[in-house]
Amino acid sequence: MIHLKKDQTKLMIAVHGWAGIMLGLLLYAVVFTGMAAVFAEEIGSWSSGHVESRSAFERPIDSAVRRLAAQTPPKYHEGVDLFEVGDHNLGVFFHRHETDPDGTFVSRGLYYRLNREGTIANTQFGTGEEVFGANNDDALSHFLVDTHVRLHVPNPWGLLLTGIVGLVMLVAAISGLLIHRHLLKDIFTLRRNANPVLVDRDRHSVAGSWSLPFAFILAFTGSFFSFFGTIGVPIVAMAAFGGDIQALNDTVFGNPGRPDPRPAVIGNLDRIAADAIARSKEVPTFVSIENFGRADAKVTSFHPPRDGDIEPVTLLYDGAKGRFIQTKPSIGTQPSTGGTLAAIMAPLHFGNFAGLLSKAVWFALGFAMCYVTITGMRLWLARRGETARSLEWLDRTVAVVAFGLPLALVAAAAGFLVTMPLGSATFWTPTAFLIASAVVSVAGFSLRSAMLAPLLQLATGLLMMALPTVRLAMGGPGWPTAIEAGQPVIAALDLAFVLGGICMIRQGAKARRARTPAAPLSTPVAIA
Amino acid sequence: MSVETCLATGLSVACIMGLALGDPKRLRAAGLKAQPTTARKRIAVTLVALLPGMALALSGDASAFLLWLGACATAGWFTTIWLGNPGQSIGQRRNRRR
Repeated sequence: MIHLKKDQTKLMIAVHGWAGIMLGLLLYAVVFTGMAAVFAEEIGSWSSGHVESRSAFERPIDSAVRRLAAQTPPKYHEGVDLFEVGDHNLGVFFHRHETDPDGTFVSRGLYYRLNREGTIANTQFGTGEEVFGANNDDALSHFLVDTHVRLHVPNPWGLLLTGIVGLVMLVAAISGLLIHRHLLKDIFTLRRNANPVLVDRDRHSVAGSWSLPFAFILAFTGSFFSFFGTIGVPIVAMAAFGGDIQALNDTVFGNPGRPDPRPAVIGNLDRIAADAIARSKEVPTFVSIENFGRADAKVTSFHPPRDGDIEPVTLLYDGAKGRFIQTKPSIGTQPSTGGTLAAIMAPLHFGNFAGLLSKAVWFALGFAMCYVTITGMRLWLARRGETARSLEWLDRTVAVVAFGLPLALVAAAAGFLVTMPLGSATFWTPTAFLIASAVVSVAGFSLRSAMLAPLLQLATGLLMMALPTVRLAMGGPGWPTAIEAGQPVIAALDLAFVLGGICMIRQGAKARRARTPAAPLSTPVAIA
Repeated sequence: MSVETCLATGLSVACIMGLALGDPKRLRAAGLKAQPTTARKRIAVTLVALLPGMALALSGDASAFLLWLGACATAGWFTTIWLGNPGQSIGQRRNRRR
């Protein structure tokens, strides 16, 4: 499609290959966990057996929040975050903004987790990062998201790492577009009986070509999220606000106005929530109250996009009067192109703008990108066939990560299902992942990749098929209960795991019969 | 998913499948003797495949447009894999009957 000079093409091929080979495995891990994390909310409901389908914001919250405010020291009334936790229960975080001695900007305060009746189930003091950590009933979805967002590396390094990985994906997508001379001509061509290099090349380029627009979108939006808080905000704060991040937040995201510290009773939160739902036609995902108990209190409610749109809705209310003020842009006080672009980053990245259907499409495209990453690495190895002996370690490593990561994630899910009723899931979910990873790594040392891959596929398939049984055995809701409660996603995920497991076992058996290095990746299902 | 989005995606996916079935390079690479689609017809079908997406974009329904784009990309990839699988190819079956 784009004709470059020979030396430029050579350079682009080198950039494409080395970009992939240097960080390809990390990229695969990030994309694979991201693909699963698209359904993090559904996985959370499935794994914890959540059967409540009514949002906490559709139930009375006003009296509970007032009661909590009365028992919380006023210094933590600077900000109050309201959000859903567990089975549509309410989480309330009274906090104030502080800068730690090391210069880190934090929100610190008291976090209350309420139960269904609106009484306190748990109280915790700490920073936002500490209180928003994993709980026993959301340890699995939290683990998935945390692996995707920062690979469990402490902040800011984890975010920087995944940001760099996103940039590598962007570089690989652009260089791939430039080096592929016949992108449209080859888009339906998969040669099965050609030499291994051509077979691998076709698999890689076909999947890459079809998913190319989304590679750009996901890589760009992913890097945006990683670098926004770690680099973007501190740099802008340094350049324009003398390093004061709170001042930047107030100016860019806050609600300007003259401070009015006079005490004033907060407006009725139930009425505000009902009005916000009526205006946006969606239940809030998050509600934030500034200056709780003051005359200048503001309530901001954040909602998913309206039907037919991809820009999330943000509504602003006068907190003291409980009166609607305006639909608020995500940046600044007036609508702007930059504000809209910033607002659509999340729906574009998470694919959650049109319910389960858009999530399913994003899942499939994430899957295509995993396939592109692994086939690309295999192609790089196949092209260096003559020196394959010296690169055997890399071939094994690719097999260990490509087929071991799905197994370890399924093992983490099994670990969660078994230990959640015992109350130790926050420990055992990552531990099960690490144990499975260690077993796979040991197997990787002792088996060749052609033998290892089918074995790992068989093991993953068997474990996937066992997950619904484990879930039911540990007291999870059955299909009739889940469907009756308005949570058919529990039954749907059970089915998906069984079908996925059958596919994995079939692929593993096929690859075992073939026992050729290229065989394990003969179809995309093989790496799922 | 609205009816319009559903119809738009269905039409485009059908066009993509038609393009894949008559793709000359695919048929040549698989050693199939089936008649490839002519270049003029391919261009016409490609335009028809793109039209629903353009209509959705012009209507301002960003959500429907993204769904259409994603569904077409996914369907295109799966169609290529399906036709590339030995024994699964419609072109191959047609060829065998001859």
